[in-house]
Amino acid sequence: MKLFLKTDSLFLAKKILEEKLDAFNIKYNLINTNEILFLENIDADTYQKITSILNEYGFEIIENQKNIIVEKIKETIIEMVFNDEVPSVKSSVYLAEKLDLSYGYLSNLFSEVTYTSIENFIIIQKIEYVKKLITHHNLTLTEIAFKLNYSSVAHLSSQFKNITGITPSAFQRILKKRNEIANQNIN
Amino acid sequence: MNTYEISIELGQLISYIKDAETGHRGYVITNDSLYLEPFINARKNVNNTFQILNTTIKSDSIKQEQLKKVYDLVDKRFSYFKNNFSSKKEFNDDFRNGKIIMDSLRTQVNNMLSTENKLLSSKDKLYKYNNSNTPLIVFSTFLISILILGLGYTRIIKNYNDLINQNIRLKIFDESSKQAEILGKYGSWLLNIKDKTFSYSDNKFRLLGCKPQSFHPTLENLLDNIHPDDKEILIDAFQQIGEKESFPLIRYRIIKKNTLEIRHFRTTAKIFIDKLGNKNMIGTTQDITEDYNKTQLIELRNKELEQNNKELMEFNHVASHDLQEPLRKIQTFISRIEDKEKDCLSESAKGYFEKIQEASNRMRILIDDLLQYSRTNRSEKTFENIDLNHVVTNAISELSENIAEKKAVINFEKLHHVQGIQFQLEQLFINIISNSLKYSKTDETAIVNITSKKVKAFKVPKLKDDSKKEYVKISFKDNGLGFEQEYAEKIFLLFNRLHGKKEYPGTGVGLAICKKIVENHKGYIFAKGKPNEGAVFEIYLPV
Amino acid sequence: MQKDFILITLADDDEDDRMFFTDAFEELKINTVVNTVNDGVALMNFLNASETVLPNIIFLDLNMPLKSGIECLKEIKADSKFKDIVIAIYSTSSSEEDIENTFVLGANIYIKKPNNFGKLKEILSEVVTLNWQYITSGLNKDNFLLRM
Repeated sequence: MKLFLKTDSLFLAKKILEEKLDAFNIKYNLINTNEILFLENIDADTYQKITSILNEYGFEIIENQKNIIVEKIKETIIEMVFNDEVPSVKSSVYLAEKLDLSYGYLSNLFSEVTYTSIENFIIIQKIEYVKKLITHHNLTLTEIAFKLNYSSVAHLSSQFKNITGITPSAFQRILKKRNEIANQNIN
Repeated sequence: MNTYEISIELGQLISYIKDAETGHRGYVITNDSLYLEPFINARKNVNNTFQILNTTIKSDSIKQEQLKKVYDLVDKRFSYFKNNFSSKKEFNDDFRNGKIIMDSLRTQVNNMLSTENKLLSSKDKLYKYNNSNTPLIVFSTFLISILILGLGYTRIIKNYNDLINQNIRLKIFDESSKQAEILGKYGSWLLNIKDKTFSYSDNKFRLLGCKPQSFHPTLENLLDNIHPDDKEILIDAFQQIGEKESFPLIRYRIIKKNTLEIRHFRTTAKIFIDKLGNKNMIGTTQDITEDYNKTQLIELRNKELEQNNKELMEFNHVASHDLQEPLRKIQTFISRIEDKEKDCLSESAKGYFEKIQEASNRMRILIDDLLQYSRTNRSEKTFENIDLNHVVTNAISELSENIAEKKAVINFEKLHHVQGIQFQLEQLFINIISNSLKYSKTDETAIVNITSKKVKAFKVPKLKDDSKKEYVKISFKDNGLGFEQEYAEKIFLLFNRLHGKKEYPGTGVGLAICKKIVENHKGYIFAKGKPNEGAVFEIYLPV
Repeated sequence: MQKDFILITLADDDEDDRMFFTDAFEELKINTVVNTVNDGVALMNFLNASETVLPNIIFLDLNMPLKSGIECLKEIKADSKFKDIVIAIYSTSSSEEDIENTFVLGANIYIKKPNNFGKLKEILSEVVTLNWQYITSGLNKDNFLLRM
């Protein structure tokens, strides 16, 4: 016989976190299962124990404040890029407003942690979105350029090529051929 | 000729009645029975005459009608012939009435007579006319007979001449076909399908290495001269005659009877049904040994040429490809020394080191270009429908750094589609645009305008193609340094350069690659230039 | 970077190229562990050995004796246990057909061996950084195509 299950990973994560953290008898607040705000000081020993136990359950500790900010920057950028409504302000202004920190600080922090600049990361994400649109939505390059607010197909093409080393049409062709091969193997 | 008889009889009828009148009158006056006899005879005669007339005009209804009236009048007249009268007045009345009837009878008979006479005279006329025509008709008949005879004779003579001419022509044809058979090294044969009888032309015997008609060909001895390995081919072919009433084109070898030489033959045949319904297979067999040998030789040469060409390309590719490896290492080591050790070198060593660097860089460019050139030959030639707008977009993004550096402007309007190889066309566009960028003026914004339009081959004389084939003409117009028109063809030659290495680095391969690519696409490329005014590159690609 | 180390394997039959490669990573300030093998057969043996910790990225020379880079690529792509490994072709060839062909066969990165050590360092650094983005920023690895 078979059982079909539906899991709520967030619910599960919350349960586990609560169970494990309660065992340490510390005051804390859970924010959306991806942030734990400790309401008292924790010594190194306990910290070590908490991280190792949470690691066992697949939780990865993003250790310090810098990382948290970097993750937040990334999230905001991804949200910004993949949201079809392009923000009316410059992305630097948008980020600074969203995270309530100066863009200079964010920029330096980001480069320090990720070895890449925020600008570069935005472009990478934009290109990623272009790739997604090419592969999943069968849009033409003209349509994509328009959707993503590029001034022209040529601009989109050259940015795509700068980042990936290949032209969007070559990308399209390669993925198409890969699919053909995959389909042949299935058949 | 009953008209004549009728006239006579009618005349008699009147005279008989007159006789009766005379007799009757005599009797009435004299009362003597002697007068009665003519009266009674007249009565008999009148009856007789009517009998005769009646039979004569039996077929004519008008005449019968007239005769009936006469008869009625005669009958009436006779009713007044009485032998005794009561008074003189009765006699006189009767006599008078008899006279009136007699008169009308006469008129009636005269009428009839005149009709008959008219008829008689017209018949007489016809007769006379007939009589006069007879010799003319006889003569005409005679003439016509003579004419027909003459015509028949000339016709026969003509047919006879035709036959003689045809015979002569047939003989000439026969002779010339015999000569043609000898010169053309072919022979003909005929097979009656029903009787299975076979006949060969003289030359067919000669081709087999035998004297003409030196043996009687049959289906059995057909295979005697055939090369053992090829007998099957003939057996199969002759089997088809029976099965499908057709004969395939076959090639086979024979061994000549006199010289034992192997020759290559080709045979074809067709069914032929003559007017008598006989089914024949008429065949021609040709000795194609010379052609065969020539084709073999050409094929061999072609193969050699292909092989040579392939080897050359392979060599070109491998050479340039394998040369890359050591050169890359040399250059990498140079870069390491430059990074780490350059400061430790003496001044002269530093100078030498820079020379090494320059030389290796130049070698790098040469090898890269050569490789690209050889690659334009190697790639497979499957043509697709290519949108030149994509090609130009990709070329621009490929050259984006270069374009930005020169602050150049590349304009293009909506371009056409062509049949081609995408990456080769991109290479073509890249090379031409980068050529324009390279030879741009330093004090002016470099502008390249790219346009395309469809043209028919015969409208462009320099294509030297009078057909209606359609081409897309792509023009690249720049405002750069240009060149003297006399170099317009030279610039496309491999390793050909118009400028010194120092001024404009390059290998002279870029435009040669363009030419190669355009030729791969069965197109044309032309350059037009004017020093200091710019250059125009025109490319014609088949649609 | 928080993740311990990026594991890198290079398969190249050329001794000098292996040296350039390891030297470049040594000079780059990235936490990487680089190991090299001398040909395709050695690479597949290494990958299939039970004690091996699988690398994050394999750099693959195309022209190798015994087993070519293309053959290795096909074998690696055919085995689902290697599905998380990023494949970077590392070759002298700059033929468009070679490049497209390897991408179609499943390679993620195509690097034409540069003729300058500084350039090599630049390229390797960029590759690792971008690869890192793919690992940490939830990018779709199927869409990861990079030509250097």
